[in-house]
Parts: sequence; structure tokens; C-alpha cells
Amino acid sequence: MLSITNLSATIDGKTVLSGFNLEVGAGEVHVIMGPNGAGKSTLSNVLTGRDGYVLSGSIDFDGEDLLAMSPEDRATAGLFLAFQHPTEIPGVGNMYFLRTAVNAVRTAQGLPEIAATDFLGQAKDAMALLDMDPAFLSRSVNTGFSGGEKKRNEVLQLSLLQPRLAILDEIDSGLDIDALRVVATAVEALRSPDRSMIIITHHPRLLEMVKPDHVHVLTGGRIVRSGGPELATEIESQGYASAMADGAAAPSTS
Amino acid sequence: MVAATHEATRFDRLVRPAPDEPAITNDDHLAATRRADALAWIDEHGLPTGRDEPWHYTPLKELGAALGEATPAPARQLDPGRVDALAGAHGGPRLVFVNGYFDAEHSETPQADGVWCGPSSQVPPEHAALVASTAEGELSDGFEALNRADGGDAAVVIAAPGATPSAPVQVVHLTAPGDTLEIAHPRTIVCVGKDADVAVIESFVGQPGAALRNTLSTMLLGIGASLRHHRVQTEAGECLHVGLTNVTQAANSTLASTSVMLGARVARNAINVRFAGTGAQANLRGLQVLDGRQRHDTMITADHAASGCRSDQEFKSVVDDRARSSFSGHIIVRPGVVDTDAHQTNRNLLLSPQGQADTRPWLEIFADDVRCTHGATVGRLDDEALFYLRSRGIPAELGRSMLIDAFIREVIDTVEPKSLRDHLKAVVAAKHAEAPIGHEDLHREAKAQVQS
Amino acid sequence: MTDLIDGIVEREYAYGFHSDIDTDFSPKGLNEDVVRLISAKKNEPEWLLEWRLTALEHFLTLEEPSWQNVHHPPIDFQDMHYWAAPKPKEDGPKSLDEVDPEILETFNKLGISLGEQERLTGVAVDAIIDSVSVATTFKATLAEAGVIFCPFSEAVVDHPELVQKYLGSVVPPRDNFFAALNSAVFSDGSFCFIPAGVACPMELSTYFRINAAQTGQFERTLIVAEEGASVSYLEGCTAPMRDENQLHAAVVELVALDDANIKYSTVQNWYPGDAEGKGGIYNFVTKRGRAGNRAKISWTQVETGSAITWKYPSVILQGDDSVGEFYSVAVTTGMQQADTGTKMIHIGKNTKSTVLAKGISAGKAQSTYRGLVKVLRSAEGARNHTQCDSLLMGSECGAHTFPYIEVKNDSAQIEHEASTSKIDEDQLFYCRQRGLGEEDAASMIVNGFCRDVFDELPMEFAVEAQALMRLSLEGTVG
Repeated sequence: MLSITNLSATIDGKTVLSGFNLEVGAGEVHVIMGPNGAGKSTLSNVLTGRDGYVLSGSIDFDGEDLLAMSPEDRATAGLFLAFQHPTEIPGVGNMYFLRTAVNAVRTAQGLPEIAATDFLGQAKDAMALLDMDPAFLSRSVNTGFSGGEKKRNEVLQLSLLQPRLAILDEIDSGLDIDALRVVATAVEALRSPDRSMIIITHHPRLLEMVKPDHVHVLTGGRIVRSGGPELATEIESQGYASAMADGAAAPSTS
Repeated sequence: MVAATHEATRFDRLVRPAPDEPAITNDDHLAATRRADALAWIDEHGLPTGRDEPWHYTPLKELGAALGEATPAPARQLDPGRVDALAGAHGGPRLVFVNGYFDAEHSETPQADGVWCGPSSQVPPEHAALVASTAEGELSDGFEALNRADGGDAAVVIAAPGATPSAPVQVVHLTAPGDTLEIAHPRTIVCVGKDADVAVIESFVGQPGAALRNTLSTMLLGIGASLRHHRVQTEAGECLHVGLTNVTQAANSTLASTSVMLGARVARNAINVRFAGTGAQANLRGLQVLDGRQRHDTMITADHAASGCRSDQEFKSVVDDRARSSFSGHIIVRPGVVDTDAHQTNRNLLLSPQGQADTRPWLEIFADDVRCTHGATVGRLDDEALFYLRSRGIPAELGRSMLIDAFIREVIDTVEPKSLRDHLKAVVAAKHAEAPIGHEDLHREAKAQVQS
Repeated sequence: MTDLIDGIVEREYAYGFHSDIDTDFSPKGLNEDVVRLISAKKNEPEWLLEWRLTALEHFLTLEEPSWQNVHHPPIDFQDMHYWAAPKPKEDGPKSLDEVDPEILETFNKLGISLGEQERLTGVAVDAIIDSVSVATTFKATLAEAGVIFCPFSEAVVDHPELVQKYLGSVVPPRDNFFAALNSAVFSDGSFCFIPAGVACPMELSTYFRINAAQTGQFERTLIVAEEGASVSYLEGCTAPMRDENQLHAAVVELVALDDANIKYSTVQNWYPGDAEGKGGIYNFVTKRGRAGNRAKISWTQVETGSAITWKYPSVILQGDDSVGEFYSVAVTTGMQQADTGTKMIHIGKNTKSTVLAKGISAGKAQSTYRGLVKVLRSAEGARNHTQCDSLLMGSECGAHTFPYIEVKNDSAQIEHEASTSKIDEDQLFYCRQRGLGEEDAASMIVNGFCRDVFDELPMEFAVEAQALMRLSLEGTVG
């Protein structure tokens, strides 16, 4: 589904990713962990097409050259990022925004646009699962939302847009244990054989609720160690330094 | 001053000719005196120049050139249906003036719900003194003097004390251009009695063609009165428009004012609110949306001459193509006035590399018991917000227009009634439809200019 | 409250003494002869005399500007001396030992010691009385680093090529009324030159003192930081108490070439006049810097003195990625008037400017912030953030804010915020409840209000500025 080969990314003269490789197969859940400054956010920025990076290497997304695509083309092709810091957009209604996005994806898939009333029903169902007040639909996108509300709004969009590859960038940060459980349950429910996920996180707690297939340690701009769920447990108990010392610099391939 | 009815001045060719017959009635005589006094004032003080701070950003050169060639506009007939198409129909009474002349045929003036409305020439005797006292007062600049010298029929709206009519009163000042550049001086007078609550929609609209409009609206709010005022200017793209609204508020009165400027190549909208009594409030909002080579200038003054008053100004501009927008917001707190709350924001959205936005938020505070703030921003669309939309699959063009819409809607959404809100949305949408977003050509040009 | 406000009347101007120094005057009045006299006194080269005469010719065609928000009786430019200097004993002092003891005593009273060994910190001082520089310290140390720091008139003789190259390059003689006047009759001032790549090893400082009566002071300061050079410069000002108004019309030019960094700090404490507004200095000053690529110019000012202040330290952000800063505290009490602010002209790409202005008005004073942020079409990616806050103490004072923002580039991001309010009663009460006296509480709150600006001052000045402000506001709280 996703194949990243020898990716390097430089911004303002500073190299953040270098020699980065990752293979994500259909239905797989990959976790990327790493200390601050390892390049985790850069990875999600590059995957979604944010400006400002000088790039080399290649990213293949289901046979297409991802790096040649605009951010919206990537989204309609099925790539979704749950932002670490969701952007506030005053004045744009959440409901209107969500429906426009869903219809953009549907149009790209050759499906007819969804009517406002049908969409409202879908949105309310999805919100119930996330324990969200329907009043959020009438507010401006993320504007004045608490940290937890913003994260739920991201997962709501994830469930409505039904992407093929979801990148969850620190979806667990700023959530209390109850909210984390709600989010994790919703994410777990979205797992399917044709949907892959990349979960970027600091905290292994989320991984007790969403069991990954593969865990990678990212540091210095590349993956230095890969393994199964047990790697996350090891990092939690021993820290990154130790985990990296143990792991031969074995670049990930899965 | 002695009325010099027939004495020519430099400016009398810009206003309606004085009557040939000598004044017979006392009223005629008064009118002639006012005309002569106003012309004398402008002869002495002249028209504003760029050195007059309130006119610093006004395109006075273009206005001056237009004044040089303009002649007074005559009354003209309208095609049926034009008024609804241009100004929208919002129910309630409607006064239509064409080129400053009352158009009885298109007007509907039911005298009900405690509201009298009609042309000033038909004001009943019991209201004459009130209307006269509202209309007079010190002249502030040459354009106001010209308007008063013209002395044409004014649209008059009087709400009796305690009146709370359900429907808004609509005043339509319609421009019917001629073959040459014509000037008219539309005028509105609104008196809101004690504890009355009334909505007035002033629509400045026009048929295609070039014209110069110099408008004056004078409003008086009695004790505890409430006025919801919408000033909508959607004149034709070749027009020039100089507008002045003077509002005086008595104690505990409330003004909610929304200005929307969309039309005219050169347009000025000045609103002066003066608090004459304690505990009054004014909430002033405005939006100007410019493209092509439009130049719009807004000048707002909140004059706190009484204690315990609150004013809020919130104005926005969207500037596209080679347009230039300017905003001056002025808060004055007079000596000895206490317990003042005055706030002001001006936000400017630049959509094109050839556009320009100037903003000048002023505070002039002569007392210490105040809480005053102002803020201004100039910038283009938020890149982060646009990226977020795109990352959800929304195409860049659509994303941009969603963000522009959101910016505009913060003002438009406050417009009442819905019929007017929908009308404005349609006008804005039509304006955007004819001006596609994306400015590769302008970007290239801007670069070339910088390099040369 | 009124009693306390009246207390201002009793406020003492600590620097109001007059020194009995034998002084050499030019005749009163302004004409070609006076300009020639000044030029001759200073042994100036012909080109500089011509430069002055051209400025004079232009000045005589101008009318005094009236747009400022200040009020004063008309200034009679023919009724003052344009040249006053302490009479030299012989040819002028060669070393500090030869400086007139009365002059040394004058500066000692001001808390400025000109004896190098007595200085606690390494600050080089140029001391200027009336029109003439009387002493410059640490010259030798600076010379080792290649830094030139000397009286302007000395620079004209010793470094004519530098002076000729940069004089008037930022503030041309025709720039404005007072700049033209200064260009014609400027007497002395400081000249600093920091060669490429040199970080000036110590703070440079000039103390200005007006002593003589019926005298205008027109100094000219020129600071040039070559590529990659950096310097921090301090300026302090005082004058005797006199019941006449005296004119101070200075010009300061800063040239920061590529990658240079100039920090210019002012503590201005000219005599403000008495409680009725009699006397005091008219401080009409033009200060401007030009920043090259990646260069940075930072103005910090604490303005507590002068009857009328009229100045707008500005930065022309000509080079790409250049940075301009303006940090200001303006305190006006009694009958003082201040109309001050800044201009940030964005020309280069990715230029950034920050404006932080704090105005405090008490008594019957009027304080105005006037600023311009202009983004030209070429200034892709320009950023400005402006914050101006005014604090009012007493019901008879005024605070005014007149910013002008003109933006011709759609990629610019400009933010302006301002607020005006009186001193917060809750804060005052909170402090008093904790045992602080009313004045101490107010002083603490006002200092807090100005904290962000004081933080920009070099340490030594920050202490002085706080003390000065406390003194200025004594008796204004109620």
C-alpha cells in the first residue's frame, strides 16, 4: 500500500529525515516511536504534502507517486492525517466543512455527492460513538475546542472519510484515560483488511488498546530498529537509548 | 447671514438651481437661506484635502476630477421591478428616491405602527420642528455642505415614542445615470422617539453607468431608543460615492449599525456616532469587498461625549485584484467623561499581490476612567487553515473560497432580516463569480515591478 | 487624589542645577554668517560648509510643521544662540587632566564619572556640553579593536572619507524641517565606526548636557556598523532648570550594513519645565537607521523629560531578512507633551519589525503614540507586530494613539494591538492589602507595565530608568 524508499527531507537547511525506509502493507498497523526531534512530525508533514521541505527519495502509494500529488489529491486518494495540532478555522462551520470534505472524496471516487440530511444522520451516528455532543457540528472548525475535543474531531473525520491509509500523529497526546479509551475504541473499530494505519506516538498506553503489527523506532531521521508489539513494551521499560543500543541498525522492511 | 439667493458661488453648479421665483412662504425663505449659508461655508472652507486627517486615505483626486465635470442629476423614470432587483424586498414601508427625487410610484408609505415615513416636503406640521432640528447642526466638511446646499427632498423616518414596528423601513436611494456624469445629493433623516425600537435599511443602489453620489444621513436616537441601521451600497462599478452618516444618541439608547460596501469604483463611508447622553451603546460593524480597481475608504468615529457609554467597532475588508482599501477608526473620549468602554477591530484580507490595504485605528483619550482597545491585522488567507482543508481532500480553489466566505460571513450573518442577508450573499457571490481567484498574471506583474 | 496629583508640583528635577562655566556664544539668530562661523570654529573642510549652506538655504524655504499633536507658542528661530561652547583654556583638553574641573564636577553631579579608572563597568563615554564634546573616555582601548568613537567634529578632521560617505545617507538634509535646521547648524555629537566583523568590546555612551541659556542644542550622531559588526550605544540627556524653553533638535543616523547589529538605547531626561508648564526643553529629534541584509537595528527609549518630545526613531528595512525593533516607555507628567513612536519601512524580503510602546500619562500631560508600518510591494513575507499600551493616572491627562498601517504586499502579516486604561484598582488594592504603600504599589504596577521595555535596556540603564520613572511619577497616584 505504502512504500517509502530512501526518503530524505531538509527544511531551512536542516536535514530532518535521511535514508528513511518503510513498507506498509494493506490492513497493517504500524507504530512509529521516537524521542523528540527524531523526525516524526516531519514524516507526517511530508506524507501529507506540506510545503517547505526539500525532498529526495520516493514514496509509492498504491502504484502512484505520492510526492507528485497535491495535498488534496493525496487526501482524495485515501490518505488521512489526524493532526497533532488540529488547525482552528474561525467562521467555517464544522458540519459544512465535513460534508465538503466527504463530498470531495466521494467525487474523486466517482460517487455521487451525499445530501445534507443523509450526511447529518451519518455524522451524528459517528459522533455518538465518540461521545461527542452534536452541537460541535454547528461550531467553527476546531475553534475554541479543548485539546481533547480537537482530537475527537480528528477521529470523527477519520471515521467519516474512511481513508485507506490513516496516519495518527500523537492522537493520544492531551487525552485523559477515559477520552483515550473512547478514541482507541473508535480507531480499533476502523481497522479493516484494506485499511492501513501509521500511529505516531510517544506513549505505549495507546498500544495496549490498539494492537500494532509492527513497531519502529525512529531516531536521527531514520528507522533504527523494527520489531513486533514487544518492542513498544521494551521501550517503555528501558527507554529509547537502551532499545537503540540493543537493536542492530537494521532498517525496517516488513 | 443674509441669504444671497441668486449670488453665484464656485460650487452652486453642483447643486440644484435656486428657485427662479422669489421666496414667498416662510419655509421657502428658510430653504433659500440654508442653501446660501451652505454654499458660503464651502466657499470659505473649500473641499477636504489630503491634509485633513479624516480624508488622508480618500481618493480625493478622483473625486475632485468628477466634481469638475459633474452636473446636477435630473429626476428620471424607473422601469417597474428595478427596485426589487437592485435592493431586494424586505416587507414593510419603502421610500424610493431616484437621483435624489422622491418616486411616489415605487414607494409604499403606510403610516402605521407609530412610524411616519415619507419625503421631507410632506412632513406633517407636528413633526416639522423635530425634523428640522435633526437635520441642522454644524457643518463638518465641504461634501456635507454641498449636500445641504442642494436641499432636495430627504427621506424621513420618524418613530413615535414607544413605537416598535415589526417590519424594517427601507430607504432606497437609486441612481439612474445619464449620458454624462451627474451628481445627486441623497439625504435621509431618521428620528427615533423615546423607547422606540425600529430598523432602517438604507440601500444605495443603481443602474449601470457612471454617476457621483454625495449622501448625507442624519439620525437622532431619543432616550432609551433603539435603532438597527443597515447601510448597503451596491452602486454600479463606474460610480463614485461619498457617504456621511451622523448619529446622535441620547441616554441609554442603542445603535446597531451594519455597513456593507460592495459597489462603486470610488467609495467613502463615514459614520460619526456621538454619545450625547449617558449609558448609550453603539455596535458598528462593516464589510467592504473590493476588486478590479475599486478604492473604498471607511472612516468611523465614536465620540464619547457622555459617561457610561460603550462603543464597539468591527470592520473587515477583502481586497482583490488592484483594489485599495482603507479604514480609519477613531475613538474619542472627551475630558471629564467617566466609565467608558470603547473597542475597535479592523481586519484586512489581501487576496492579490497588487492589492493594498491601509488601516489607521485611532484612540484619542482625554479621561482616565476608560477601557479602550483597538486591533488591526493585514494578511492573506491563513496557510495553515488552507492546508488543513486540502489535507481533507478539499481542492485549493474551493478551500480558498470557503475561507473567504467564512471571513465575510462574520459580518453578513449578523444582517437582519433574512431577505436582506440573502440579498447581500447573492451580491457578494455574483461579485466573486465574475472575478476568479488566482492571480498568476498579477504575481508576474508584481515581480516585474519590484525588479525594475 | 487631587492632593496627590498636586504633589507633582513639588517634584524636584534632580538635574536642574546650572554650572558656572565660561561660555563662548555665537550671536543670536540664524543666517549664513552664523553657519560660516560654526563651520570655521570647527575647522571644517569646504564640502561640509557647502553641505551646511545648502541645508540652510532649504530650511529657510520651509514652514514649521503643525501636524504633531503638541501645542506650544511659536518658536522664534532668530532669538537663540546656535553655538555655545565652554571656553577652552587653551586649545582644548588633551587629556582628562586638562578638562575644566567645573565640567568634571558637572558630570559628577549627573552621576557620570569621566575618570576611566573610576568606572565600574566598561562603558566608554563621550560627554557633550551645549554644543561641544568635552571628553571621550576609553578611546585607546577601542582603537585597539579598530573601533572609532570620538566627537563628531574630530571625526570630520580625522576620518573625513567616512563622514562624507555616510553623513546624510539615512537622514538627508531635506528630510524634514528640524533635520534641515540641524544639518545647517549642527555643532557636535558622537561618531562611531565599527569595522567589518568587529563586536565592539564595550558599551558606547554619550551624555548630553545643555548648560548655557538661550541656546539651542543641535547635535549629530552617526553610527556605522560595517558588515557583521555589532555595537550597543547608550545616550543620556539632562539640562538645567530655566524658565525659558530651549530647543534641542538632534539628528541620529544609524547605518547597519549586511549582518550588522546596532542597539541604540536612550534615557531622555531633559528638564521638563515646572508644574505650570513654564520652561523646559523642546525635544524635536530625527532618529533613523538603515538596515542591510540580515542586519538588525533596535531602538530602546525611556522618555521621561522635556516639555515637548517629538521623535520617531525609525528603521528602513532595506536588506532582505533585516530586523527592526522599537521599544519605548514615554512618561509624561505635569504639563508635559509627548508625540512619539516609530516608522518601520519594509522594503526587503522577509523583513521583520516589532514595536512595543508603553505610554504613561499623569497630571495634565498629553502623550501620543504615532507610528507608521509600511510594507512596500517588494517586501515579500514581511512581518510586523505592534503593541501600544497607555496607562492613565489622573482624570485630566490624555493618551492618544495614531498608528498608520499601509500594506502593499499580500504575503505580509501585520498585527497591531493597543489598549488604554487607567491603573488597575484591583491590582493596587491587592498590593496594598499585602502591605505596600499606595505609591509603592503604583510604582510596582507601573514598573510591571513597562517591564518588557526595561528588559531591553542594558543593565546599568535599566536601573537608572526605573529610578527615574519612580521620581517622575512621585505624587501622581491617588
